[in-house]
Amino acid sequence: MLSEFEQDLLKELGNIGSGHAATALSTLLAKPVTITVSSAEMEPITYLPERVGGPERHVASVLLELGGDISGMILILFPVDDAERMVASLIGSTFSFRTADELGQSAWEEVGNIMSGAYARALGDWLDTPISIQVPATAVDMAGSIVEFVVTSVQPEEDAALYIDTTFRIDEKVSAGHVLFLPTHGSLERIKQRLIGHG
Amino acid sequence: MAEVIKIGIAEWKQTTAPNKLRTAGLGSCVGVILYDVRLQVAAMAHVMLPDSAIARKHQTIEVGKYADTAIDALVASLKRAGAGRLQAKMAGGAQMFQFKYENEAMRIGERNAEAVRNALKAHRIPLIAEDCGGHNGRTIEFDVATCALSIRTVSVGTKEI
Repeated sequence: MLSEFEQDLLKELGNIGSGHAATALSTLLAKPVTITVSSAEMEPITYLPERVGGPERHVASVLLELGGDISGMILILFPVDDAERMVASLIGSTFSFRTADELGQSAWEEVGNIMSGAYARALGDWLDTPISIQVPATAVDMAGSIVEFVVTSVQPEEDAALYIDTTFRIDEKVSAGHVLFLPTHGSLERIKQRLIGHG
Repeated sequence: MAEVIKIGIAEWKQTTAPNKLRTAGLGSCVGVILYDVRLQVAAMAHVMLPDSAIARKHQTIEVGKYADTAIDALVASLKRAGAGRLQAKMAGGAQMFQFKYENEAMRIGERNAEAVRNALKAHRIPLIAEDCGGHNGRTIEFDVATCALSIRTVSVGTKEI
């Protein structure tokens, strides 16, 4: 799929985005946060549900649409328990996505907003191109159902997506987050050209 | 021994009673099952997209991926197995995220469900039951012996159609 060189570039991009996201999240939560990138690859879309913990894994997700020079979407997935713990520490009381807790819900949206925005900015800075973003959407459901919706609405003709595996360490607790970057077909080609130009 | 046959994204498989057909984590995709009650044979596809015309030229078409090619493949395969009168059930086609500004591409679930219904009509296959749309992911399991389709969602639990 990707050459080793391209994989390294994608991993570097993931590292920069994760650095931005960790700083933003740390400020929001007032807790130490580190995010490390364990792997970055281009995965066939049919494998993606397995990569994010299996199609039925219960996850909390944030989806950010990118526009401008580079179009596509950024999808961030967390195990539900970890997302709930993050929200709980933010609002100072327990939180469950199963209850209609407006304060908690909007806190989660804020977490999503900050994190996905950090990845989008890193991407724009790195490629030296302005990227416009909307307010992200959130969903809590089976991982497979979320991933396939995103894949089919962004790049129906594409058979692979860029995929970054991350480990979040928040207040010494470890959580496996997944960041998927799905550029539209034209944008993927543009990114590859610019990445190679950077190298 | 009854087996549970698993179907992944864009795949399709066929089996007979007492086996079951299962696909997990359907979002905007549609799980469609064609079956012959008398012969106790059934086939399920996990359809991703409405129309194979979207595939790029020279690209190998995965038949299970598109509504039109998937239904054609299921019908042909079941007929080869000796099936006569086919019936259908389907579930999925959800809209997983709600955006402020929606474009046509994001209505993919609805379009998938409509494309499957149209393909069934073209083959004159009656749609016995369906559970489509909404905002929930679904895991479905079809029992070939009873022709019951069980549908599990995270928020509502399990039901049968």
